[in-house]
Amino acid sequence: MPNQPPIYVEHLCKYYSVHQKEPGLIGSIKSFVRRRYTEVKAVDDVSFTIGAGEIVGFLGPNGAGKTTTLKVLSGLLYPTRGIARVLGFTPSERQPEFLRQITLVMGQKQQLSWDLPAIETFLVNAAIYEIPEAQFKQRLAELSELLDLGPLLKKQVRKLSLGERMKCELAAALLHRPQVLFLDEPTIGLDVTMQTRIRQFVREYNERYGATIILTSHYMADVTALCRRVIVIDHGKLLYDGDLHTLAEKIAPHKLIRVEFAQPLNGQRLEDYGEVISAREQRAALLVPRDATPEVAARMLAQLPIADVTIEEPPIEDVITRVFEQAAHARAERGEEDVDDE
Amino acid sequence: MRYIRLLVIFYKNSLLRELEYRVNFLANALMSVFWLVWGILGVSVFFLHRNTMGDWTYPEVLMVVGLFTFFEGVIEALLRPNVGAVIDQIRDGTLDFVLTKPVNAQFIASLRNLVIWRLVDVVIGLFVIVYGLTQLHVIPTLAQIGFFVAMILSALVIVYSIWLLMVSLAFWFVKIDNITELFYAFYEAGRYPVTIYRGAVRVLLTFIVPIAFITTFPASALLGRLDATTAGIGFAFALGLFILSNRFWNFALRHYSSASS
Amino acid sequence: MTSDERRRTKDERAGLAFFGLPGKYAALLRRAMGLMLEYRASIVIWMLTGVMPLVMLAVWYALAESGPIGSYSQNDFVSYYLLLTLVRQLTNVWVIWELDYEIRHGDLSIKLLHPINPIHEYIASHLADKVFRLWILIPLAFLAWWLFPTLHYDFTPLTVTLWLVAMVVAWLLRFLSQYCFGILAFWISQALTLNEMWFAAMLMLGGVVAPLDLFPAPVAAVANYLPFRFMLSFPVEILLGRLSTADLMLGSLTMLGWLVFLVMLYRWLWSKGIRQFSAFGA
Repeated sequence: MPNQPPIYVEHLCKYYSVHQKEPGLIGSIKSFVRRRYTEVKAVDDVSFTIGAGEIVGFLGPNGAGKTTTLKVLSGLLYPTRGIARVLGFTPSERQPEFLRQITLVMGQKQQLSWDLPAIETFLVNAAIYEIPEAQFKQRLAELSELLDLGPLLKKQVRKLSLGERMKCELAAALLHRPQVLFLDEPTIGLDVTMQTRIRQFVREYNERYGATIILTSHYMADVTALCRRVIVIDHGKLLYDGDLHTLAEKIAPHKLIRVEFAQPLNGQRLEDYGEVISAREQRAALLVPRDATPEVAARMLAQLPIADVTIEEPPIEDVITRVFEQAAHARAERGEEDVDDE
Repeated sequence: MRYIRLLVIFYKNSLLRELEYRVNFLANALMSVFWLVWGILGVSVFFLHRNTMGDWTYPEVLMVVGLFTFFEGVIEALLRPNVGAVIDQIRDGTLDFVLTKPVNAQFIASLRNLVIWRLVDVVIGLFVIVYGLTQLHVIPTLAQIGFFVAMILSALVIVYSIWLLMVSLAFWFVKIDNITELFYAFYEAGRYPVTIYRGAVRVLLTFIVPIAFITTFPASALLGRLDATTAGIGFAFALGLFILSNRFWNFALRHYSSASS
Repeated sequence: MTSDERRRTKDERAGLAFFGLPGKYAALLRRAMGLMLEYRASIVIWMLTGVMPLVMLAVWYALAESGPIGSYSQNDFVSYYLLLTLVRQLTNVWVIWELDYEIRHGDLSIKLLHPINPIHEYIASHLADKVFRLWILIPLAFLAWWLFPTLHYDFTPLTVTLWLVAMVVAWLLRFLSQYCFGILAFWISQALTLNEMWFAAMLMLGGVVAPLDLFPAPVAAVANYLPFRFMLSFPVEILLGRLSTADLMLGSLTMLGWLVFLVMLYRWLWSKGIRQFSAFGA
């Protein structure tokens, strides 16, 4: 067992039957009389392996299948087809030994008792996970320090702000020091400072305890900060699995050249150098093919009155968006219907 | 009138919602009949051992059972989904959405939803009342029917006002969101004619928690046992309660708007 | 896994393993008591809603004015219904609403991620509620004892012990049957409706509408063997002292039979239900 990768997924499929309804009163009456069902492929033939200590980002639009995959891996759903193995266990068997080593944090669902202070739920979790008292105290101290919990523990959960609640939720989910973490939109709805805080915490936790982490997020900043490797999922299909920056290079074989001019241009055309993204009085940004970047930059510096220049990777968001656009394009070409997965 | 058009839209939406859950319809209809049969069976047990309940014969008591079911239908179809829902809205904070609409808050809170299938109770309740009358071979006079309708209307107003009062209390005490359940507990006493209860209990059920006005007096009207004085008291009581509840509701609303964070 | 480990995890999954359970219950109870204190006002209101036995008492008392009904005089009715009120208050169950809600809104997922069967948390919160209710009911019981000198019960070591056992089993029967209906929510949307019918049957055949021996003889005969009797009526019958030793024994055996049946039904339904939940989840 120690030599197996902690997370192993092979040809995973998860299909649902959903009933379709047309809008309006006629549609309601029709569906009252006879139900029409269609099959939704929430996860469609997905395979990947994740090694110990990795932090992997799942990227995809709403309804892409990210949350479904996490639910299969944590045992809440069982696969329609295919294999899922976590720490050598079959998650859907939900063996207590398995549950004691994983955690699933869902940004929109909470396990803390609403009307009581967070510490009360911590104590219950300590009992449920059979954490000895000394260890519990020590872990609580560590988590309090990492997450800056302090006075929050004794306040009623309903009186905490969203960010404070999220921190307490994370602590509750990690008291039993699981080896495998599934974090589903952990920073959703939080302000920027809190997002950074949570990101730092996840990184620290991974470094200290070597936990294997899958993170889904809408915020690219989460993924760029934490994940070297990303898995891109859309409409249930795995579109990309690999290095984040390699993705950028493959999909967006461009670099961004930003220039600041010392004086207005004298009849020169920026379009000669590359694709102009923006051009204002003193500033401009151009997309230039990756290989040609040094040469174009040199030309610009020689021929244009440039005061300052920077060469950047294009924003990851644009890269990802392009990945989805390409996938949508491919689906359209194959003639597949665009069914709403929600 | 704007409000009539609003009512139409409200009830169309209610119907749409109800159609989503077709099993609900069957279940609700089944439960209505089920509880009615249960109520009749319960009353029958008494008549295994006695010939009258507080001077009321079996068919007469059946009429009270019918009225009990009738008003249960009104409560479930109109009161609980509206006035009762206000309590949930206070707790969830969604009441603010209601209050900021440019329509009278009490109107929306009271009439927005209609659980159509619960009207089955109203219908079968009426059937039982009529059945009771046929068993007695009695045809009420026009005056008696008039009194009956008047008492029904008073009862509707009374029930509505009680619910409004209960719910207004929830503005102060968020933790007692089950206060409307208290109503059902007292309402259970309305299965039987109020004359069966003695002394303090009868006074309680006539004036303090006026169940008597709801299930007994309309039946009395049809049976010619209701005199004009009592009917008049009923009317006045209903009116008074309505005004009181409306005042209290507005008072509670003012308190809520100034206190909510 | 060895067969021992397999058995242990199977039991753990059904919530019937007892290792470490007392420690977990201590923690669950502690939290549940904290919650009950927060909600003490609504608990009192819930207690007030359980007054149907008192309404029935008012009716039977009035009807018995002209003479005893069956073998019940007015005082007998008072003894019967006051005790029934106490029994009803102490055996009340609401788990189906929580279970139904959590299943249909997917909140059950959170409980399923913990290595403990969700049933324990529900049991703990019900226990905490009982502790709270006892605080109110014990003084009330003494008050009633003082206010109604005609109250008459048959207190012997045997009856009192049997009564305590019957109370626990009565609560278990009510809890498990509601829980089983709740598990049906994995498949159907009308679990609450089915439970409502069960509840109505309990009111009729469990001795609330009338003491069971006031029913026509064939009905009473059948009712003696149905589970409803053991949810409310049987504990009352024990202390009223109208049952012969043979009746007591037969009743106790039937009661335990129903308990065993419900436990097995729960285990079976739960394993099926979890399977269903994992197919669709939420």
